[in-house]
Amino acid sequence: MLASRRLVLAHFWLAFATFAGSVVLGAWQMWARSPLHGGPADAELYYRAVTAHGTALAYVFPTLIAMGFGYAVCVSALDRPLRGEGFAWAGFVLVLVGALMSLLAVAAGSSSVLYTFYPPLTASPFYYVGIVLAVVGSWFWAVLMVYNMRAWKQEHPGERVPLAVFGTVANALLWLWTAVGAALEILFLILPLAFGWTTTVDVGLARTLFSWTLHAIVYFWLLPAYVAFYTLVPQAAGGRLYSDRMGRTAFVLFLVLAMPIGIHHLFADPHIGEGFKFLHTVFTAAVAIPTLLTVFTLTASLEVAGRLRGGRGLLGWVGALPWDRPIVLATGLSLVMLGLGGAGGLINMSYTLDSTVHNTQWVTGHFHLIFAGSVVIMYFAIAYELWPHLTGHPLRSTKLACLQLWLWFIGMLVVTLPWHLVGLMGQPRRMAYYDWSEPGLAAQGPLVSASAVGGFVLLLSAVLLIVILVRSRRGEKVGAGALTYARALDDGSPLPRALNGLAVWVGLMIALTAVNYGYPIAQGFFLQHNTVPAQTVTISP
Amino acid sequence: MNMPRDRLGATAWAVTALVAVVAFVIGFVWLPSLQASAQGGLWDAICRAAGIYRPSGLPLKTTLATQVPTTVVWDVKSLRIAVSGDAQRGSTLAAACAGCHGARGISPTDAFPNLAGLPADAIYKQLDDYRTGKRENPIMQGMAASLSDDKIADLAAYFAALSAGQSDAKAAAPALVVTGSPLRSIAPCAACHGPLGRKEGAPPLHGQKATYLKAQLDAFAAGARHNDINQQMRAVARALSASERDALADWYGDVHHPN
Repeated sequence: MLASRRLVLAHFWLAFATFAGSVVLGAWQMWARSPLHGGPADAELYYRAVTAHGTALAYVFPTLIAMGFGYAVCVSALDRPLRGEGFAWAGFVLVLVGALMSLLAVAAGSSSVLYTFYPPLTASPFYYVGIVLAVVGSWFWAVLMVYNMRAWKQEHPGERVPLAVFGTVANALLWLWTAVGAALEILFLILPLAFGWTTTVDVGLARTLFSWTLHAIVYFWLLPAYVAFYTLVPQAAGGRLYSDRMGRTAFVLFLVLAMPIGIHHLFADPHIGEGFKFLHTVFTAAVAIPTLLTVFTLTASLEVAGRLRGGRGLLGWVGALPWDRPIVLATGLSLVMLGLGGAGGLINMSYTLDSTVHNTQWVTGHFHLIFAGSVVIMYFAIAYELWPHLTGHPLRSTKLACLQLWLWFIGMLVVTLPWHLVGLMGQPRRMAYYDWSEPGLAAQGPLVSASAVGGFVLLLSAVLLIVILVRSRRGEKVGAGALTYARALDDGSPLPRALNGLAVWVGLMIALTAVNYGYPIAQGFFLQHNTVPAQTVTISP
Repeated sequence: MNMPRDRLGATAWAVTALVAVVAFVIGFVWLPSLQASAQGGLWDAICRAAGIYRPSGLPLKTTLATQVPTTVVWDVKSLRIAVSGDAQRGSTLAAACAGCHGARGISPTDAFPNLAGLPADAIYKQLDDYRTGKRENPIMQGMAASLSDDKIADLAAYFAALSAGQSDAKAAAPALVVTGSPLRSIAPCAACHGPLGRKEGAPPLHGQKATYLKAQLDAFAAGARHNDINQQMRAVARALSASERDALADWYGDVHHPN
């Protein structure tokens, strides 16, 4: 049984409870604005639901998974108790309180600003303070991860940090730096507005600062899945990790490149010069490198496993893999979604191609396919993998778990592929309703209806997940062996010192941020002013 | 990856710096210099790419001046001037207009617009635009060239005082008139030109000559007429199909006149 298992379980249960509630809202939203609904839905309720869905699934759910999985990795891979467990619980309580504050403020109707909270839309201060508390709670985790790795390294000089811990700490450092942009925005621009101390806000600067966080936060969500790819999947498939150093390279490249590229979200914003848009396009293209390295290494590791299991020929090893194991199946499905979503992402990140899809439903389709699809399906797999170690009970019915993963995969494709298509037809995102009696929209109606059906498939899958996790806590305890991680083929080869620590890469990350963001932010603070009056969200009578 | 221990970090810094420098040169120097609008030197290009507006003293000013669609901007002062005219004096001046626009402001031919009953600000704006050459027409530019602000206001007051045509029982208004076409970013005609509402300087169109309206819509669509200050009419006319322009002109023009 895992040390600190109550801590890890608390994170996972809160995460999945938040998740299940938000999926209900998501399915409702898709139905409410589809032709199936038979008339416009209440727009105010719709935006409330979108804000709750986004806030819970962007700020609370993945954060809790990253935290819970991080603690599990830390105690099992370093094979010793977590240092500072009291602080870990304090962080958990902060996330819980913060999430409740924000979501209650949204439910009250005073905070329907969508989870991107772009000013001048201004929500109730409770909403923002709640977000801040949740983020500060997650910083407790990040600091604990760094602290535990450092302490271990000091006591084990010359030994290599386990890859799972290395990836987790890289993610913790990435998150610490990534959250700074939105923190500056909230501290200097939004909270003074929400509390009524100021009446106007520089929207250009606010968006620039938010873009600092907006893209890299996606990699904060993604990296737990990558840690699983490198350390859990090859072993579950019955093989070895192809290259430990490739894994470290991917993690440090994410650390350096994930953050200073966020201006690709602002291609249509007039306050950013096109030179900076180009610069960020270049580095956004570069961030595809660690993903391609990962896909290569993962595929090679699976091939090793497939051949060890008797697979022959060019592709025979694929069929030889144990697809009935949830984490192996999830990996396969995840890679399909990552491939499709990544291809779409190349369009979004291109300064010139983006204009055809900017702020259309294509974008919503893209980030659901990548995050809710390829990443979240790995969260499920991580939970299935950890559950026996956390509860002492075996996973009840891996078949049901595989069905759940398949339903998630199918549902996500049925939701997001039509979204991409209607996006190309010009359907704007963030709309509460469309006028389906308008002939110009006739071609989009059936696609939107189809994707709404996909939403309910996802809801069914989410319910199944909860059923499986609850069922697996009942019955006789059989115990589980220690949680172990894949050994790598290159475990014996020398490791460059720079890949056993993160100092070099944190320095590079900060320097690149200064180059790519320094001027646009300074411009916002000191030179240009895009100031407009606040627009407070209120409930219409 | 079998690198000496201390070199990897330095290499990473060097590669990243190289990528940044190359991207900077392409994004801030090379691409801006290729653009058709590129003006000034290297420093100007870099500043533009960084998002800095620099009034550089380049021929931008003169270019802008010729592109100004009209010099009539509605504010308290200009609105006061436009309605300050004297209809009595205007009636004397209007003798020169009667040949084309009719003795009582109702034109005998389809090619020329009716002026009777148009609001003073609408007439004032067009006469001023003819005078400054912002609206082009060989006859009208000649007629307006010698007019002072006062005389333009007097003429406007005179035509505004005449009674306009009477509306017949009309066919139902086309959707474009009442709701526009939001999907195509076309505002409803009626919001500025009546019957729902009116904007300063925009003439009500009921009872205008259909032929004249068609010609104006086509001219806006082609850009031949361009004295709409924010391109609002050019943008709408361009978005309309030829048959839609005809239908709108016919609907607004379908009116009987007292004479």
